[in-house]
Amino acid sequence: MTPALRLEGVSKSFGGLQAVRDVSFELHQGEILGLIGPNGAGKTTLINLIAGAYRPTGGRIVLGARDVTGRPPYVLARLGVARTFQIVRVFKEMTVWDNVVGGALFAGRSGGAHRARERAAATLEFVGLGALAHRRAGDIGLAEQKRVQLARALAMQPAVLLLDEAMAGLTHGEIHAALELVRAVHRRGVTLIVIEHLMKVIMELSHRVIVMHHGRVLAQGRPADVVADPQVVAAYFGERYSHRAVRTRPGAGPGDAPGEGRRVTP
Amino acid sequence: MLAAAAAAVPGVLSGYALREATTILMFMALALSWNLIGGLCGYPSFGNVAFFGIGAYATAGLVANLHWPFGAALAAAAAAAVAFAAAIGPVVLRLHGHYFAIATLGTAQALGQIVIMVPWVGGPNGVILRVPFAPSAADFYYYMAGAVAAALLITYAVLRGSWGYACRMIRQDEVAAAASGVNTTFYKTACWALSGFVAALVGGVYALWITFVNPPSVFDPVISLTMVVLALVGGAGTLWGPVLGAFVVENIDQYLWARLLTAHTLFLGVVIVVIVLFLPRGLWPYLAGGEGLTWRSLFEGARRLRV
Repeated sequence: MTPALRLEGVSKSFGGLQAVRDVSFELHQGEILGLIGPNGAGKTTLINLIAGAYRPTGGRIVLGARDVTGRPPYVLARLGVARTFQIVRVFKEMTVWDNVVGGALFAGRSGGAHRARERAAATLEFVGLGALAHRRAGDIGLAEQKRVQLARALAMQPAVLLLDEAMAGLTHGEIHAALELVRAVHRRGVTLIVIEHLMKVIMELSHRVIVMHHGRVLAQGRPADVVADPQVVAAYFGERYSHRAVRTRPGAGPGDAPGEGRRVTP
Repeated sequence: MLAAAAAAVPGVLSGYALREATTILMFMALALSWNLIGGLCGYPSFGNVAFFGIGAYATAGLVANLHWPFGAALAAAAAAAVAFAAAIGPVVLRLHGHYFAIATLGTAQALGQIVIMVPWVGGPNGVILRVPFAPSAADFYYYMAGAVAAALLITYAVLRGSWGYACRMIRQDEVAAAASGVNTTFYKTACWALSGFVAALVGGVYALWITFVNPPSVFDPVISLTMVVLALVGGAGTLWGPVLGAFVVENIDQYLWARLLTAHTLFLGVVIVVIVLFLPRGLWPYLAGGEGLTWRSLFEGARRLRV
């Protein structure tokens, strides 16, 4: 099966700063890929490259069978790449309903304003925002605004969904609800790349994890294996701590190693 | 009803008053022109006089030098403004906020300077228009009223449906709009071109009305500034706001001008500052009844502006 997305030697530099260097990986259909790494590792830059917000300075990005390198964000949105933003971007003066209709109108693959409204209504119910539909998006809480972003992205009927720290800043209860929601999105057949600083979330959600450091892919593999990698521990905590790397139980898969994951966080 | 009242005006007013009414209509259409790019898309153009000037000059040149009929010259002038907007739009609309404002201001000024060097339209001397059958004062009133009606129809058509969604999304968060599948460059350039179309129509009618165009009069940056102020006072981004703004400000202006010739701009300035500071969304939302006007809402407006 062709991968949902393939990156071949993708690089991005801003002047003299190399934010992303020679990154290659494949995103399999129906997968949840966790993207982790210390601050400044290049995670959000990579998401911006995949979503078309930045044009790579080297390499190729292939969506399904189509080379989409350097295509603008609206084209990628229409081809099935949807995203949420780390710092929430909702249309604040518009209602929650209009925010979601906006996503459905322009990128949703079966056209027509009527169909777009149907999709928006269904998506709002799905993410549990039905009761807030007529509130101004700028007036609701952060957790709800993050849901609006997600609903707007889902109304686009994406093939690949990029979640950039969808859970940062949420309370414990909100994170639990958000986790359930992301799982429900995945069950609908959406392939996901998830950036998250909360190890618990990454460990519970991801089928596979890529660790970035200084713009490169430092390690990739199953979540439990990756967090046990001394290189990864060194990247997060410095060389001194790498020898203390946590021993994880061999064969631990996604969803059954949250405990080990939590131990990595300071 | 409003249209019927407007249509009856030339029967009631004459001479100076009719001329004032025509001027108010002209500024209504210009404010609506600015609103299409500045209000709907949130791109504060300070150079919309460029389109007005193109409209005036193209009409004047074609009528005076090539003896085209007025209607054909006006259509060609509007097409020229649309072509100019489509050509520079993808470039200047990459800029935001102040940068966009300065770029458009500069573009309009440069255009005025370029026109001075074109002998075909009289260089610095300008063009005098003489037509065999000059329209009457009432005709010009109806021409300007037609421009207002056209601008309202265009704005209405843009606001409803998916185009309106695209504009609102661009105005509030262009990055998120693009990520949602909106071809931002296309919609911005289209609005910019429509804005140019309306301003050029007004410029063309103005040229024939005044019968004389020269660079300082039709590339006057004050005209750009007036468009901004009228739209902001009335309510940028709304259908009727610019019409209301032009009506209110131009009436105050003419009232003050008749009584306080030297100080009238000062008073007008104060009126504008007060409205923009305390009613940052303009007058229209209050008139339309969507919002109650209270002391609290006034200071809320002033507080929000400071952010």
